[in-house]
Amino acid sequence: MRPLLPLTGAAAVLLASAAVVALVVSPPGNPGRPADDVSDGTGARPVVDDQARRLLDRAAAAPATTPYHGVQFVSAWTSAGATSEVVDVVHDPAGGTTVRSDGTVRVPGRSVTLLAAGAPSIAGGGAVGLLVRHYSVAVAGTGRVAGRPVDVIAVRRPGSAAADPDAARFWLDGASGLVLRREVYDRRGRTTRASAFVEVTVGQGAVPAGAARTAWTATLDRSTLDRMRQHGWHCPAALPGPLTLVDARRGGAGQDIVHLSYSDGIASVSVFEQRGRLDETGLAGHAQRATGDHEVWVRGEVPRRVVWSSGGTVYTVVADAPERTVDAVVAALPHRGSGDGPLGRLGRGLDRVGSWFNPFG
Amino acid sequence: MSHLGHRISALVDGELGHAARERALAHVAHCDECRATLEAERSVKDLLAASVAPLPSGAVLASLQALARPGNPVPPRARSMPQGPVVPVLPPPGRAPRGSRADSRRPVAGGPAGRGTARRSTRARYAAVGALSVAGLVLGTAFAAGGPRQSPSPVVPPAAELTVEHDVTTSGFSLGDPGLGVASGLGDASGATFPTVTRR
Repeated sequence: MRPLLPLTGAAAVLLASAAVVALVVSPPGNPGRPADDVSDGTGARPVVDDQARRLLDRAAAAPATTPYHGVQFVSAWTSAGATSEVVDVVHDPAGGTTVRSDGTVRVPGRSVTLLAAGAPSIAGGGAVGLLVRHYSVAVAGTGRVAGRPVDVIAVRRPGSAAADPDAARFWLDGASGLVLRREVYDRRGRTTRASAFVEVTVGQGAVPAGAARTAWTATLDRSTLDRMRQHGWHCPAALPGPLTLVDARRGGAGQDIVHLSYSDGIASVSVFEQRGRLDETGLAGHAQRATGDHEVWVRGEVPRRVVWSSGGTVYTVVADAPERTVDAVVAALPHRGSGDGPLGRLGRGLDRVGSWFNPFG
Repeated sequence: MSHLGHRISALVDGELGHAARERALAHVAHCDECRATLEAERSVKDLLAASVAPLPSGAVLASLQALARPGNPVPPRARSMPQGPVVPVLPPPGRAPRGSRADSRRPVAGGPAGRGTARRSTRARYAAVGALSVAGLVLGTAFAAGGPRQSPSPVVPPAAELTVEHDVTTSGFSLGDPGLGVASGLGDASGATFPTVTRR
């Protein structure tokens, strides 16, 4: 009979060795959830009403051809409180959108002009395609905003019951298709974001050419992102929400910052990655906060900005999204040590040795 | 005639001479007290004869045997058999189950079967040393390949620029909300935060 003891002993030793190697290879901390683990768990498919889709497509195309100006009231609600402001908005399809605030007793007046970026580099289908990929849409009725007739579009979470609250509502100008009012609700039906024109003039709006700030011009496509992943950049195709990777760019003073944009058509999250270690002395105005088992620096509520360093990369998340989603996104991204210790060196070495034998590397 | 006394034990053990034995038996025939004592003595003798010599438990036996094996606390040494009663090593048949720790038929190291155990132990040691050597080689190579890390340079993310970049990019794929998106960006661009005016 074949002796079992030596095999058992050897196997045990090999297993123990493998366990040691695995412990060493596995980086400490949260390495980040896999990109595929972003399902909302319902499995339900969005239901898209044709008429609602047509109205939304018209609304998405309207700013490219229709100038306007008006006064808009904007509000946001978070666990920290509510924020509200009245701003003047001027939109020129060629020059961009200028938003100006007279300020409040706490915030000085300010103005900025932005020119919307072109088509996203990753996800096709535009804003409406992104929205109907994640939500059901239907025409909910008609109404009036700033004295103008509007169509009301209800945006609902897929699979939600009739009694469940909408995820959002859009009020679309009947004449031009412009979005004149927009509200976003949480799962309990509470309003979290709201904006509405209190007065608007469609057809008039002039913004000086060249005054607008524009998006970084160096876009990154899927194949570039694949190569970047092989060189240690963390570029998940999706994030909790679920949010889809929509656009990727590179910019900054040294063209050394990667910007990954995620959205579900309503919420939007930007992930910026930059090689280096976080210089915490330059984070004035940020509060250090423990999120799960890691420390991050947080500033603001709308948008919320979260900064931390992990494994030689500084991550900055800028998010206009529900707080739960922001927390889940931050938790899903890497939170390792600096990699300066022996384990970090060993992990780098194993990665490098592994790449020697990886035919796809 | 007085009672037999201590001679009853001698009678039971057959230690009396012929004449003394006859006299004792004649006395017992007429003395109820000595006859009862004699019967009690015989029953005790029969009981002792039927009983088995006390044995140490299996665990104790195994421990004692293990003491003599190489590598155990008491090293084996040549010595003469002790004088006196011999403690039986083999338990009576049926007392200890086959394969139990008290089963003295279990091979011990040094015997023909014991050499097999020693071989297995040696092979296990070789396998362990081999596996640890391979693991050490892999880890050593990885450690060398990892090299000292270049200390990353300190970075302060350009907060205002990143927030504007977020707003302007987002406006390209979100359905109109210039007020909220840009107003929040205004706060960062000017160094001020979006105001909190009420608290729920």
